This record gives sequence, C-alpha cells and structure tokens, in this order.
Amino acid sequence: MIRPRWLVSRRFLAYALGLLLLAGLAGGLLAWRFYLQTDELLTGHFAGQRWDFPSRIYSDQYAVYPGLGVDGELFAWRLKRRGYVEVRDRPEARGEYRYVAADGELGHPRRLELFLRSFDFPGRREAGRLLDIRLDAGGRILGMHEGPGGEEIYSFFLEPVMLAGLHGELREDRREMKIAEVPAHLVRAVVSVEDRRFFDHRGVDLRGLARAFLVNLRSGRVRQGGSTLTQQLMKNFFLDNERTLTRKAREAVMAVMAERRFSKLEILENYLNEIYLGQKGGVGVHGMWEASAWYFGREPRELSLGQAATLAGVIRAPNYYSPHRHPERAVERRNVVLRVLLDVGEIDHRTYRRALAEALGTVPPVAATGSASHFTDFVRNELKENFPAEVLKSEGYSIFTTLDAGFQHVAERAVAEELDRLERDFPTLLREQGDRIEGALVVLNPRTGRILAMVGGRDYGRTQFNRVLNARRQTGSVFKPVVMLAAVGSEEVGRVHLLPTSRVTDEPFTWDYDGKKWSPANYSDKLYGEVTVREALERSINTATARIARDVGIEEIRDLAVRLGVDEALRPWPAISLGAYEISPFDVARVYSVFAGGGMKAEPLGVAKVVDRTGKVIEGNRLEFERVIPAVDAYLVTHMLEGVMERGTGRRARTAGFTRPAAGKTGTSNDYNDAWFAGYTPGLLAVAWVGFDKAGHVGLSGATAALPVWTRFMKEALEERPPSAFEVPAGIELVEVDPRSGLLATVACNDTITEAFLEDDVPNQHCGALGHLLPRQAEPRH
Amino acid sequence: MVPLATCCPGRQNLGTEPVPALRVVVPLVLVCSLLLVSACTVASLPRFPGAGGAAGRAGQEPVKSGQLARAGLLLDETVAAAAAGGQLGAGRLASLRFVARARDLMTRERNEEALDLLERSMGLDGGSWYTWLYMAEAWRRGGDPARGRVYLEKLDGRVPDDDRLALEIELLRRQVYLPAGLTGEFSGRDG
Repeated sequence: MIRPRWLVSRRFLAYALGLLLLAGLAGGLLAWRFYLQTDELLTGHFAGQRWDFPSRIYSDQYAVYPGLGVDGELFAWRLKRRGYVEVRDRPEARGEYRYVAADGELGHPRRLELFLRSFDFPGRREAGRLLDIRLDAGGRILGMHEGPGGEEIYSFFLEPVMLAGLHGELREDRREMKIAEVPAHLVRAVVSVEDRRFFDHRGVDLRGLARAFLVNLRSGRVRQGGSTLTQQLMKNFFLDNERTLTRKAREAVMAVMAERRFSKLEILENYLNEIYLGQKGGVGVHGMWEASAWYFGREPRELSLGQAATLAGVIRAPNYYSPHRHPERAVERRNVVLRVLLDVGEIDHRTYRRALAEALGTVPPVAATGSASHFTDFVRNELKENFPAEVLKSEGYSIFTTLDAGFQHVAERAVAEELDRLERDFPTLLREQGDRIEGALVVLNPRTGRILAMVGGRDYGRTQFNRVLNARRQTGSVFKPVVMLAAVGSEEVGRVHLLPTSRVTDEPFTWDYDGKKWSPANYSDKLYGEVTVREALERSINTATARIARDVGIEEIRDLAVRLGVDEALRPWPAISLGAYEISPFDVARVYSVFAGGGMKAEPLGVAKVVDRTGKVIEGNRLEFERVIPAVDAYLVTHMLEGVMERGTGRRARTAGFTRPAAGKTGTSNDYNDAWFAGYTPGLLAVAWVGFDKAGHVGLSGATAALPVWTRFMKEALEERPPSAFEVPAGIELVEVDPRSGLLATVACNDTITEAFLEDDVPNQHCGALGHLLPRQAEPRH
Repeated sequence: MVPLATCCPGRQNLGTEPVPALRVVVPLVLVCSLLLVSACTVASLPRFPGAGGAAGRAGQEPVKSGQLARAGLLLDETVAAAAAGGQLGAGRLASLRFVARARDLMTRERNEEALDLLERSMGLDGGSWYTWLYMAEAWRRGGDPARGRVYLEKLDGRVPDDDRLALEIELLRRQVYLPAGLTGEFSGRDG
C-alpha cells in the first residue's frame, strides 16, 4: 500500500520538529550550563584575588642629614640607582635634581636641589617634595630647606632601593591600584586609543567590529582587532591568544556577560591593572602602576599628559613601542595617541602642542637583580620561618631590609676588583678554570647589628655559595684579640690581669696539654725576645700570644670566645689561641662587633619589616642587645687594635690613604690558605676573607690579600660620612707612656705612645726617673 | 625624710574649734599620710648616680613617671647649643635630632615610628645617653618595659649630674625593672 505523499511529509516533519526541539533543548541546556559556568568563573575571578603579586625585597632607606657629603661618586650612585635624573633647570618633577653654584650657574656645587620621590614607607608616606640643600666647599651639607625659602629640615630619607622580586611561575611584576587613583588623562588616553566607545557599548562593539572589518578588508591584512577593552580583559583573564572564531566568540560572550555583572569602572580598573606593558629582563611588566614606575620612575598620578599617552600607546605592542628600547617609536606612537585625544575632543590644541613638545622623560632601566644576590638569598632564608614561599610569591609583601644599597655596591666592587688585581699581581693565584681565588665581605653597623652589606663571593652568576655565612675557615690571627681581651680585661673577663704595656717573652716553648705537646712558632720564624702585650698583638707575634694564652688559661679564653659569639663547639685546645678553629666571616663579624659596639652583643639584623599590600606591618624586627663584656674592656681591645692600624700589620691601610680612626686585625691561617682582615671604625665594621673554596694555598698574608679589600671598601663607603673618633668610656684613662717601659712619659723618653688603662692600672712612675719600678708582669687576680 | 608640714600646709592652724577640726583633721591626716608615703617611697628608691637629694625637693614642680621633662629640656638645650656652636660632631647632632623627633612622636602616641627613629639614632651615634634613655621610655610606652633594661644599663655613669633628671630616670628604672603587672603602681605618681 502506498501512503499518500502528504502523510509521509507530515510524519517527516513531525520527526524533524521533534529532533529540532530536542536539539534546541540540548543546546539551551548547554548554553545555560555555559552561562552558569562562565558566570561563576567571572564572579569568582573578580571577587577573588585576580593576580599573584610578587613580594619585593627592599634595601634600607638612606638617611641624609647636615654634615653628610652629597657630591661624591657614591651619593651620585645612590641617586642614579633610585632613578633620579640630573637636570639643568630647577627640578620640577619628582625624581629630578641639580647642583647649583652659589651664583646660580651650574659649576662647582654649592647647592643641591633635589625633588624627592614619593614613597610609602612603613607607617608614613613621603609625598615627594623639593628640597634646597646648601653645601660647603667639600660637598658636605650645611643646611636644608623644603623648597626655596621654605621650612628648615634636619634630615630626610631617600627611598629604599628594590633589590629583588619574589615571583611565582608567571614572573609578573604588578602593583594594584584603584580606579580612583588613576589620573583622568591616563584613562582618557587609554579609552580613546583602545576602545573609544567603551562607555557606550555593552561588552562588544558592533560598530567597532564593522570598522575594523572594513579597515582590514581595505588593507588586505589584519590592522585592527575591533576588540573592546572588556573583550581584551576577558582574553587576558581566561583565554589564550589563539586566533580562532571559537575563541573570539567565547571572548565576546564573556565580555557581554561581564558587562552585565560588573560596572564599567570595575572593568576598567581590572583592565588597567592587568594589561601587559613590557619586559624587565625575564619579568613581565603588568598594569599601569608598574609600567609608570618602570618607564618613568613615577606613580601614575604624577604622569604628565605625554607620559600617559606614551603608556596608552605602548598597549598595542609593548616591546615594539618600548620607551626604553625604542624611544623614537615610542614618541611616534605617543604622538598618534595625542592626535586621537585631540580629534575626539579630549584635549585642546594648546594642550596637544605642549604635550607634543614634551621629552619622553624615561628613567634608565635599573635591573633589580644582579646586585646583593647573596644577601637576598639570606633574606629569603630568614623569611622562610614565618612565610611559606607561595605566600611570598603571591601576596605582594614589601620586605624592608637593613642593607645599605650604596655600601653593597661599593662592597661588590671592592671584592671583584681587588681580587682581579690580586690575580694580576700574583699570577700564581691563577689556576685551572673553576678554581678561582674567592672572596667574601660582610659589613655591619656594630652599634645596632644591622647588616649593611654582604658579598658572598666574587661572581654570583658562577657560584651562589655564600661564603659570608657558610664558608667555615681557620681564622688565624684574627682570633688574637680574644686572647688579649682575656689578658688585659677587667676582672669580669679574666682571672689574669696584664696591661697592654706588660712584657712577655717571645721565645720558643712547648705547651703540654692532655698528654700532648704543642709548640707554636712565628710566621717568619723570627723571635723578638721580649715584647709588650700590645706589640705582640700589633705585630701579630704567635709565640708571645701563645704564652699569654697559656698564662690566662685556654679554658677561660674558650669561654670568653663563646660569650662573644663563637659557637659552643669550640674546644679548649691551645692552638685556638692562634685561630686554629674554623668559623665563618659572619661569626668573625659578630665577635668583632662586641669590641666595636662597646661590649654589647647586637643580634645581626637583616630583615627589619615586612609590610602587606595595605601598608600594615606584619613582621617588625627590632634591635636586640646583650651586654657581654664591660665597655672598658671592649675599649682596651679597640685601643690596641688601633695600634695594629698605626704601627702593626694593618698599617698598609694607612699607606693606601685610609686615614680615619680605625681598629683591626689581620689573619693568616696555617699554610697561608686563608687571608683575613677584620676591622672597624666607629659605626662601621667589615670583615674580609680571601681564599680558595677547595682549601688551597693562597700564599699571601691577610695584610696582602684581604686588607686591600677592606681598605678599598672603607675608603669608598665612608666618603660621605663625617669623621668621628672612638668614644672613650668612663673608667678608662688615656696616658702618654714610654712604650718600652710602660711608664709615664717624660722628656727623658725617646719615644711615647698614648696608652689606655683601666683607672686603677694607670702607672705612677715616670720613665727615666731614678728608682722607677719594673713594669708589671702577668699576675693572677686575687 | 620629708617634713610632714611640708606635705600638709596649713595643718598648724587647725584646732580652734574641736568638732569641725575633727571633721577636717581625719581626712587631712589620711591625705597627708598618703602623700608622705609617696614621697618616702620615691626617696627610698635605689639611688642612681647623681640622684642624691632629688626626692628632698619634691615640693618643687612634681616629677611624673613617663614624663622625661628634664631630659627633654636638656636635649633641646644640647641640640640648640650644638647647632649654634657646632661643638658636637655632625653624626651626633643628627642623632640627637632623631631623638628629639622620636620624643615628639611618642607624645603623639606614635611609638613605632619613634622606635624606628631611635634605632636610626643609635646607628648614627652609639654613645648618646639621650638615645638610650628614650629607647627605654619607648619600650615602656610600647608595653614591653623589660626590653628597655639593656638601654638603662648603658646609662650608668654617662648622664650628667642633675637631680631632677636622676629622679626621672629612677622612676623609669623602677617601671622597667618591676614585673609588668606592677608597673602601673608608679604611673603618673608625683615624686
């Protein structure tokens, strides 16, 4: 039987309709699911933390005050490192400065005009202000005012230097800002050039798409994308860069949904924080705040119209229009943006011409990495205790350290260049590849324990091993001041009491201990007969020092060393009196900081504050002190160590032109494997070590290999500081004596030196006088 | 010992009318006893070098704990004299100015900032007793007086011989050394 055709068609139609209905239903369900998922994605993303913010490690801020030198090489470096730019005319913008002669012409500096940058210090904001700084002929500050004729100020701080960023896998630098903080001209520039109808469309701009289509059709290639800001944001947040219709469709749908969910200002804020704007080495520059700081050294609200237009222009192709790498292209693109602003009526002709005449105004790119790397490793390690790595990589903490960026720069240079010089002067130091002579330098403020500089090796790129902290090496004679402290100190530090003028025999002897024998010898095998305690230290005489150690008692010396900061594992063997014990340069610095700090042991401090993105201090570390020896005893050692610099093994620092009051000691380990110098001025302590990583023969003394590193650092680091002398504590008397007899100096003495005595120890006999008594010898204290 | 009459001016004129006098005498005796105990407590505090006789002049403007008025005055005088005559080194003068700023911040209850400045002051000049004194005071105000001890120890033999200054330091010393729960006992009491 043949069915009528109309019946077949109806049934087919019914099937087809049914299928269509089912398909529609399934499609609707899928669309609904897509909608729900996308909506959840959007709301979750916008409500949650959208980005990982790398934490940043900063140096300390730099205090500037009257008396400080500010026209030398180091201060110039400090300004440059912070992106300050020298200008010819009066500084008008933050980050500019100029030196002005008294008569107002550029030339010999008499005034420094400095427009400070703004910075959020922990607990306070520096808004950035113009300072007028009067200088003397030597470049030292006489007085300071806020702006010309403004209020007198007595100090200010240069902002900290960023040392490193703690990035996640994405390696993005970004600082978030609220839409209210974005200057209007930057918003206008971005919107005008990227999405002129942003405030009119609903996520997708059909007119824009049509225009882009026509432009592309005419030119025969893709010249315009037609994507709105919202679409760009959706792509950056959720999608990839694939050029497919599916991706474009998803982008469009998501943009429309985002516009339904969120306000225009919310979308714009996210866009301005998200957008990629260039590259800092291996790290991407994201968001307007970061780009503004990176290219112009300014916060967004400080940007000129020209600079805002430049940033808006960079969005299209950040590396092609990079203001750092291609300034001419950046200017060209900026001018296009300015023209657009004029055409759409956002600016008038006068403003347009003025902005066109602006210089690009970039600051030189300053890499945050490559400097202070050993120190930042140390800081990361310190932070580990309280902050998981993931938190540091995503929460955008500001970590303020104690490092003096200028000192670090000088220290790195001193280590690198002095080791190069050593290799030139002593070719025997050149070994096969991979075994280069190494060095370490650590710098502390002994008054506070703040770590000011740390160089863990000559080339961080080659080896990241931090010798300051982890290289345990024999100290040699650097240990001797501990022996002398036990000998000449008050009853609080030693049972035996000698004077610096007491005489000891420098003859070979054998020290019997625990059934063993130890016979110390002098480096040069030369014997000095009879010397004073002071001479034994100044000339670093082993045999005499070992005799003193034997008289004092090695247990006592060991305990004193532990009190000063050497670890408990130190065994009371006679050889420790000559430094036959391995400790790190950092530990040596801790011990010497007690001498330099007037008997107080300050806990070394590297991380001062950790501040979250809202400015709240979440970790604050304060100075920690403990008195371990009386101030008078610390001073006695300091005074003898001053003699090392003037007359002893440290005098090479003087011939090298370092003239400030200083105290220090050379050290050379057995077989000349390690060269040391530990020394300090009032307020600055540095310990230098030179040697091979694989214990090897350096063949040079501490005075030849390590002292030049120390001297170079001290000379350059202290160029800015006003000189100061060691403070003499109450209970100490400085007396002119005859160095041979230790008696009070008279005209009858051939030679005199200034000696420091505890009040009760001041000699009462005069040299050359009839019937003078012999100087005191070692005697037990009762 | 402070004479009772010094503490209770007008006590000698009491007694012409027995009943009203009794009404006045009882509370007056109580008040005077309290004052006397206060004065004697201060006088019995362990002496700091230079503190001799400080309590004996308690009839002058009262010395209150937590108010380093005399120290502040000396600080201002030292800074002014140094700025005018240039006797101090630049580092020390800068350090003292940090101390003066820290003192002002403390009065505005910005203790953390004050501590920051005092630490800077120490970094510039390790030998200034002003810094140590205000460090101790800052830690006291910060609610952790025990951390001020190490700074007070450094003061020994370094402060000028000044009775009122010595008394201020004594009061601070008592608070810094007393267990935390008892520090309030001396807070704000006249010396």
